[in-house]
Amino acid sequence: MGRSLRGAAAIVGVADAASPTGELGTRGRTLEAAMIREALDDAGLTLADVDGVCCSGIATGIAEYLDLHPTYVDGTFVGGSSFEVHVEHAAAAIAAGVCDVVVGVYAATPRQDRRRGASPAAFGPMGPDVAGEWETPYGSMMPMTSYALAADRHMAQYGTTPEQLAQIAVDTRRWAAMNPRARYRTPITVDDVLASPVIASPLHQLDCCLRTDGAGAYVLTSAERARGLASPPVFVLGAATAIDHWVISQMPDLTVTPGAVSGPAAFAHAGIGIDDVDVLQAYDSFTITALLHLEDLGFCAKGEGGSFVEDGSSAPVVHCRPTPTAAASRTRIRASTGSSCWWKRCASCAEPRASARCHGPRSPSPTVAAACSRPPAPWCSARRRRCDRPPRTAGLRRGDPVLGRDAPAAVRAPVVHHVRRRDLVPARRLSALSRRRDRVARRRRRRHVYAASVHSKPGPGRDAKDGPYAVVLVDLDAGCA
Amino acid sequence: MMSNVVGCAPDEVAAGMRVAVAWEPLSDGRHLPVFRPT
Repeated sequence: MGRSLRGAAAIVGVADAASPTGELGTRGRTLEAAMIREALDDAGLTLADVDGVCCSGIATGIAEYLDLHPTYVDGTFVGGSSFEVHVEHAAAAIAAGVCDVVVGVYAATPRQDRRRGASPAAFGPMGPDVAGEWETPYGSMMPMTSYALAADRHMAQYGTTPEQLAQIAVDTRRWAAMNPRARYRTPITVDDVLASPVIASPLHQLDCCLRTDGAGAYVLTSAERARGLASPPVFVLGAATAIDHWVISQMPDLTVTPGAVSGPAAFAHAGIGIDDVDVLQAYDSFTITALLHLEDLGFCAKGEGGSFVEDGSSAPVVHCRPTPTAAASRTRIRASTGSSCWWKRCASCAEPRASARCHGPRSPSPTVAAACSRPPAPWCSARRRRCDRPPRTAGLRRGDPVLGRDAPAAVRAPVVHHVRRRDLVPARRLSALSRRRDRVARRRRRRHVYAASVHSKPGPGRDAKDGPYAVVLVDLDAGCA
Repeated sequence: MMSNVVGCAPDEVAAGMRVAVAWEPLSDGRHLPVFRPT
């Protein structure tokens, strides 16, 4: 605790809303957005200046709603003092150069919610249900649909083949075969993957992660203190965040994740390059996930992920190129939120005494790159609520009442990039299907409810990236810290 | 945006094909935008 935050950051704009009636006229994201805009006005700044977002919940959702692409988010919820904690965290982030302008917001409308009969949100105000509005009605089943869309688009755009994706699963299994704690350790072939049932075309069952339990934790301390502890320290060299979207229908480009932003930034912080990396642990929820990470982190060029992996370069052999060992998580650990597990494996790989368990390519001082991401659309709700803005990439104009009777007669035809008619389910059945989502998913394992996606390329000036939002590089060499 | 393609066989659907919006009525009187080949 030698350093102080004193004077490192300043509050430069504020806004609040209250009414003698006890009720405000707006709620949810609308109210949050109004507060943020007012506070920015007060500061003489605009949304374009913002690169950090804090709220006691899903900060990514607010960023998506305001079309922000922050490099810092904090959704810490510790009760009523969450917002003081946010200020502390944001000041530290600003002092560290992680971000420059942070907005923090809170809006709660329990009085009007009770009068309207709306259910109070457990962790603050709910925004417009973007997934319920734009995805659920078409039969979208998370998370398979989201990743299938990315895979199909990658195939259409770059000629990536099912065999190339399958190779990642094959290599993954080879890693798992060496791990005594892996769920499945029997080697598989590309043909095995392609012969497994289609879960969400073009993804087969063996393209998908397993549902298994997992747990993990980590301890982080100062470099000074780390040197005095018994365990060999694994120093963090660089980390970066890039936030873009919360649900898949808002992803500007299905083949580009925000790892393309956070990756280079993390490498810059670390002061190392791709060639310095000996072990890569890329999130592998689906085979396409690992492939996109290889491309976006810079291990191969965009669109070349398929040819990069088709010769087995992600397999556990000492290769001239980095190998994504975390692919073993498909058969070893798969939890709904597996980040802490990944850090543990990451640290294990970098730890000499644990290298016998790791079996990865070894060097005296391995540098480990780990990428993690969240599923593009983590929730699926049966509710359909009007959203007060159109999706970013739609060919619709702002304000078009697309779910109403007054819908425009014709909309500019976008490009269709994914659908298989046999996978579709009539929209009239979707509410019931969504309520029974898990049961339906089990029953329809071989013919999943699925959705087509219509996608327009992001407009000029959009270079936003999606997907992995955190990249951390660690190094064993104490001298690097 | 996400939507459904209607009015053609599954094998006929491909990335890049031209489609036009169509409106699928819901039981509550609203309409969903879907797409059919042009």
